[in-house]
Amino acid sequence: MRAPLRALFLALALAVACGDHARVTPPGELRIVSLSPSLTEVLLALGMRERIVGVDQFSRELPGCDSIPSLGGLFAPDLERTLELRPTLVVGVRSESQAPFFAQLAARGVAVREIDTSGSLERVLANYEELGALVGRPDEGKALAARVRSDLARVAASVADRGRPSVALVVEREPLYVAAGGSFASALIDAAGGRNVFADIAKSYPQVSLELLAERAPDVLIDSTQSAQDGETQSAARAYWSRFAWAKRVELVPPGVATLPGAELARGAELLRARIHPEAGS
Amino acid sequence: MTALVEARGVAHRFGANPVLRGVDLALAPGKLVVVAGPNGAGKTTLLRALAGVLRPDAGEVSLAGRAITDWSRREVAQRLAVVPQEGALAFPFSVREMVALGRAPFLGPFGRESADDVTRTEAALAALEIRELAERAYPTLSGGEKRRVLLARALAQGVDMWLLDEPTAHMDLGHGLFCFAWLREWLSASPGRGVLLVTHDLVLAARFADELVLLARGSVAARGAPADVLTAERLADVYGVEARIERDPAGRVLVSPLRAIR
Amino acid sequence: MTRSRAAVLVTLALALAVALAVSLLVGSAENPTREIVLEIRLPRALLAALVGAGLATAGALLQALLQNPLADPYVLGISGGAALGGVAALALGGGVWLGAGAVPLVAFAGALGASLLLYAIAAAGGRAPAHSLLLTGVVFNAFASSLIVFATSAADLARVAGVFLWLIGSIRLVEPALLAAVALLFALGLGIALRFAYSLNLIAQGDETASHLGVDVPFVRRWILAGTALMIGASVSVSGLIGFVGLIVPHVLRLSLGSDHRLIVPASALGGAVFLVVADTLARVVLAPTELPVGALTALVGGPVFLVLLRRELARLPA
Repeated sequence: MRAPLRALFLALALAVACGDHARVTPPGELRIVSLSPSLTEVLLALGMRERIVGVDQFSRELPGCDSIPSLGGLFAPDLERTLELRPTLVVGVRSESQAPFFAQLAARGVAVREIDTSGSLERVLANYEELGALVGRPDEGKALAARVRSDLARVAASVADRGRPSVALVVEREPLYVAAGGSFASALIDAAGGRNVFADIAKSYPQVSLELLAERAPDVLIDSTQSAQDGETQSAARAYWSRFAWAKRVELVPPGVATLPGAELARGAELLRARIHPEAGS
Repeated sequence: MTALVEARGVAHRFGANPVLRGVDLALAPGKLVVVAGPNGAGKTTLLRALAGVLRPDAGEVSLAGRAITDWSRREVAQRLAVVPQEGALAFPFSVREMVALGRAPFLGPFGRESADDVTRTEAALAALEIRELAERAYPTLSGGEKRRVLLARALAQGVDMWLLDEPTAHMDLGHGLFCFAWLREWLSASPGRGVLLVTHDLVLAARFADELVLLARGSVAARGAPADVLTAERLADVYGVEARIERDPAGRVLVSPLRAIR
Repeated sequence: MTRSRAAVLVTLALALAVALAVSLLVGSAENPTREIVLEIRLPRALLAALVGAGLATAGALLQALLQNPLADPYVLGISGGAALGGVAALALGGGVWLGAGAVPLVAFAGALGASLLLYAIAAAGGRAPAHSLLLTGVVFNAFASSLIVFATSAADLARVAGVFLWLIGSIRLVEPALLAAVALLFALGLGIALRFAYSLNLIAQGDETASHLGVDVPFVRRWILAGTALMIGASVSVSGLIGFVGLIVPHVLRLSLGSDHRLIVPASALGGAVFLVVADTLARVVLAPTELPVGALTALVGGPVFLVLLRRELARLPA
């Protein structure tokens, strides 16, 4: 009598163990899809790696994320594949082109959060706290914000006694887009010991005329052109600015370093500091 | 005596449709030759071949004794004037500008007009009695007035050979008569001039033509003096119309259509 | 040249001088240095003048060639080819080996490619070459547009803004070498246009009438297309598709100056230059410091003006 019972018990246990796939996600389990590398970075900093079930293709380049299923580029994520992953929370950057995608998800009962990442430093830090609250780690969110704030203060302190060169950060050459007062990049420039010549413009990344840039003649022109990713050599970029006598010192910085609001803003500030104050060492 | 313009064995088809089947025609100096015939007989095609703008599939056209293909367009225009049917004009040129264009074959590449060119233009306007219309926009004129402008243009061209395509189409009796009478006068004003025209108007053709060529279904059905060509049988045959042919006291032929036969 | 014709052209030339001067004095910088005026504003103003002149002259030529006073230089597809070339270069990269020079070069090649196609059509054209040209142009433009959509979809975001600007047309600062190249191409095109300006009066009467008056129509047509291709290609390759200039400037000039192309061709060149210099100046200051692409402005103004002109044209036709 006991042997058959034990066998039955084993069989049941095996069945339970192998029958995972058909199970409906029990409430409370968090399955996150992140559609922006900067948001993914924040989630990683909040310790949510195990909860991330899907990301955009660029997020896979972040450490430890190469095995997470990709849902495509930033602007045309795959709806079917996303739904297949049964996410309980989808976070992405607020954008016009993705709005229909988010609407589709929301209509199917998936919690969607569009985060505005184009704002000022305060906005970015608030995003950390918001994300923290969303994933059930509010204290970690606040801690992350505080850490970034103190890191930036540290960077600023390291060049506090030096002069403040005027700086312009160009994110696109033609048409000319720059980082203005409303962007967190402006705060990074500040922390790095520079003075953003476009701080007076309240927008984040406005298009301005070349002659305005010429008039403000920054001491350091940081070229962080987004489109200069593939194959364009440094010499070609410098050749562009060499035509103008008012472009005194041009520093080339990889795109995104100072404009993508991930979790390591201080690193961006440090890089800028190295370019603005090379004499301070990096 | 060389014909001014001559066609020998000219044949042409549009697609599978034969429009001209071996036509011989000559315009002798001092003559008014009229080519008449029913619609679709090939009159306009023949005219275009004579003007050198259509290259016939077979046969030869010669101008002043030389094959017309041997002349450049400019050389042809310096000897031969073509007065087309109206056509729609997309741009509002003035009457004076239209007439002045008649000097084009003689102007240099940039179209600079000499005093002589201007004189001829003004003389042409006067001869066709359209001086007072000189500043009007061509598209605003009546049919008869437009025809006079085109005649003035040919006159300004100052050449001896004229080809006209339906010069009295859409014109009232008065204008039509004026047109033919004016051509006759121009013809006799100087030796060596010749006029060949294509028309529907048998009445005026019979009255003014030296030679009448009757074209039917792409071939010459008859040619000769109007009195000889225009017989009741011939009209019945070519036009399918029963007509009465009479002569007026001056010996001119009068055609009166009575009724359709077929 | 008659006295009145010369007077008109002198007046237009003066207007151009004034427009250029204003363009140099106006901008988003509050206290512009000499450097700003000479290195940034002057080349831009000159480019606007050249592009405007090129587009307007090409428009005048094509309106006569197609016997349609409301034809647009883009209708024949030459611009489609240039736009396609430019978009391909912009959207898919190509900054690799030629740098900033890649886009205008590829765009110009596109314009020439389209022109060769049209040349073949025009040479083969029988009694109604105007119709064949127009149809070919329409089809080619549609084809080019669809390829442009493909290229834009495949591009990543950072390039899309550039493509948009290209398609709507804008004047930008170009290197002196490129400016000189555009000037040279325009000069060649204008030379051809002036040489055949009188013939256009004749061709405007209809191909056969022109023939009767001594014009070798296929010969002239080919040269006109070549001149047009040079001017449109040069303009579009540096500034993208700026619309309405080529349509409206020659048409409006004809309304006030008559249809004699010996006057209309040079007048269109000058008038187009004035028009675009003024439009570009406005585009730079209206939303300062942001610069509106000049094509947006010409479309804004040009659209309603075109409708008014169209109504007039239709009213003019006999019932």
